[in-house]
Amino acid sequence: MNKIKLLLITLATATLTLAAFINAASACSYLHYQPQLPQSLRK
Amino acid sequence: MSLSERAAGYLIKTKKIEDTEQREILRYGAEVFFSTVAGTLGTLFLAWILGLFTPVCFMLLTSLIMRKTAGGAHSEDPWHCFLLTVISYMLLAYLAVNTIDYLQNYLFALLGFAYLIAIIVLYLKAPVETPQKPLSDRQKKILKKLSLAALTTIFMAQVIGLIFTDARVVVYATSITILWLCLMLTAAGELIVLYFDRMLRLIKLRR
Repeated sequence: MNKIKLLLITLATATLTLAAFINAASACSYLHYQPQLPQSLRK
Repeated sequence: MSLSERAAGYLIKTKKIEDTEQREILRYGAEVFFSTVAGTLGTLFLAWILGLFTPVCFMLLTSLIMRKTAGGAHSEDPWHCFLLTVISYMLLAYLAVNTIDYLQNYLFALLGFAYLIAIIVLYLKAPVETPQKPLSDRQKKILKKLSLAALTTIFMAQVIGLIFTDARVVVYATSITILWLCLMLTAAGELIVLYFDRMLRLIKLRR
């Protein structure tokens, strides 16, 4: 796997993890849909 | 399989993530990220087609700040959510653009009225908890304070906008949005979303 692809995948993983944590810390999703919060983020 | 599930699955496989908790977090993050991006871009695209881009842009920004701290009613399905967002924001923006001429002398009064109503509703209701996302007592206390601070910041920005710029439609549209978001914090708002969900479910069944 070349370096750029690895970097993009790492960046995407970090972005999605950050999105999960931001959503877990806020009241809800800003649009009208809220997915089920996983147990690991309820701690 | 949805796009978010596919994206999360790809990342889990490529990064060889074996920890169950990490996998859950990544799947949740993907669902939140893709539904938010798709909903926002879809709404902005339709707003652009209908010539309502600027008010809808600021309405979504107001909604982002308010809902992240105060919460609100939610649809059971991401597609229902998208439709509800599009319909409600287009209608509110259309209302703002077409009634601004009748209300331009009363904008300060409307601004004050919306702020007062919102302060009362936020104080009594925020943050609204959903079964999908329970909140701890500490989180509730922090979010209530943050929602009141967010509302005051928006109000100050509106006043500045009204005094120093010519953005009357944007100020008016964001005031209507604040009132709509307050409605979504109440039992009436939950009922609206519930009936909207039921209506769409019936339409799906009849097909």
